[in-house]
Amino acid sequence: MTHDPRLEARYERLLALFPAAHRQEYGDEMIGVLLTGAKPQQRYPGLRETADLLRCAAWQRLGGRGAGGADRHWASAAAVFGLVTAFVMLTYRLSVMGAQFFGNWRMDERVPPFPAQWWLAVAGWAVAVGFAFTRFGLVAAVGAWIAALSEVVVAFGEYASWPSHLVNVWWMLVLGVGGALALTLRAGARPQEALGVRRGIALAAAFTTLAVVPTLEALLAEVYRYPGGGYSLGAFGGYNAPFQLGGFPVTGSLTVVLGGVSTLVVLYCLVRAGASVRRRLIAMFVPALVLKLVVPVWFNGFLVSTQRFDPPVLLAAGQWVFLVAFPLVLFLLGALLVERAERHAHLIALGRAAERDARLTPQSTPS
Amino acid sequence: MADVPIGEPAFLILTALAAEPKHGYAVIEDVLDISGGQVRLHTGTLYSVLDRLREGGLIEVDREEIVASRLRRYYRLTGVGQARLAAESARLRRNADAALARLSGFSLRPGTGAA
Repeated sequence: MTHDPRLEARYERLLALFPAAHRQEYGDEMIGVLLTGAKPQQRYPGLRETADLLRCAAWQRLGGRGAGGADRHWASAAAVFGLVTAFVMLTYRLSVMGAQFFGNWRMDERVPPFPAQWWLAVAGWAVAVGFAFTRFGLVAAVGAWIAALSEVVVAFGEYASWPSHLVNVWWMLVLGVGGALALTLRAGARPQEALGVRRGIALAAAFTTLAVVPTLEALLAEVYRYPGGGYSLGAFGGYNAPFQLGGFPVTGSLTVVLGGVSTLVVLYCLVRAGASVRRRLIAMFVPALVLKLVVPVWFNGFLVSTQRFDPPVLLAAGQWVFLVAFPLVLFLLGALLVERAERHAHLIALGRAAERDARLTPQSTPS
Repeated sequence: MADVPIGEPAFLILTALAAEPKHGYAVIEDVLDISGGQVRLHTGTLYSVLDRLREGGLIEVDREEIVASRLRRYYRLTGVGQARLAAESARLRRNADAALARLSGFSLRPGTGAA
């Protein structure tokens, strides 16, 4: 039976929505089946057929059941990204709370009350971390969403009086929401499948160390009390690091050594993941990391001037568009680059295999 | 795959392939026939399920041929697929028997039967 070539082209455009691996495996067959089922002189794909193709393509892109190999890599990367993000956020909250609690206690034996939102965030991220390793993906996702949204609500709650804070922590909000989204969409994948069990344990140990170090610094710090009142903290061992991290009262050699080693362990665990997962992890982390780097520079004028006014100057519409759209565009670009690079590598591998086969196939000689 | 429940499309596809190896379009037609015209598989669903069944080792490629310059694959049931289909059929039969038994008792009770 002959078909309108435009129908075939339209089916091909719909099939282009499927992941490359699925197209490579089944694309030719699917076109054949679609054309066999088409009516004579049919020019457009049927509505139900189109809806089915769109639904299945979306499902496979999200790494759902029946997804091909390439998109399982996205699911694996989402599982690792979700875990690491939850660890980062939990570590940050625990370290700030521990350092402030013990730092204040060492100085004047008073302990600060922490906002309920901090406890909610800690509980949510802890649930996310704990259940990210298990098959109870929904529990991990719910924990992450509770924590991420609690961070968002508080940051926005303070926006009218302290807009510079929202801008400064925007990258963390993006990271937190991204992590919650990744844990929601990981489609049953677990981080230890991509990292390996030993690296999963090493990652957990490294983040635990990072969470505890600021508390250790506060506990071991030297307290200097001045005769006229007042006091200050000196880091353990006499070395005070020339930088401040996350509002910790003191940072010294423990932070530099233990924190540095733990950070290297985290990076090592991520770098040792398979190349396909690693590429996707870069695409996932880049938006938040680039925001962390560029926002203080690009929003410098706003950050410096806003608090000089009473009430403070708020963000303009264009600045909001940038803060929301920039990370999304960065992620989409990264994902596109990953897909293109892998498609390119696949075509090169196919070409090399064909060349090798041609060399190995014995030339037929006329008898 | 063994611990994942088989949905209706997968069950019908396995049933279609239990008779003989079939290509994609033949599976669609056979499923329509088996289900008494109730289930018309669309191509996206068919190949998503075929992929999952292949991944789970329940079906495999029997042979390939080129028809009108296009690849046509025939799929067949594996031993694992055969066992899974038998187990799933038994499970569905148990459930159906239980439902029918209760429905027959339901219609005999006073006030619940047909008017």
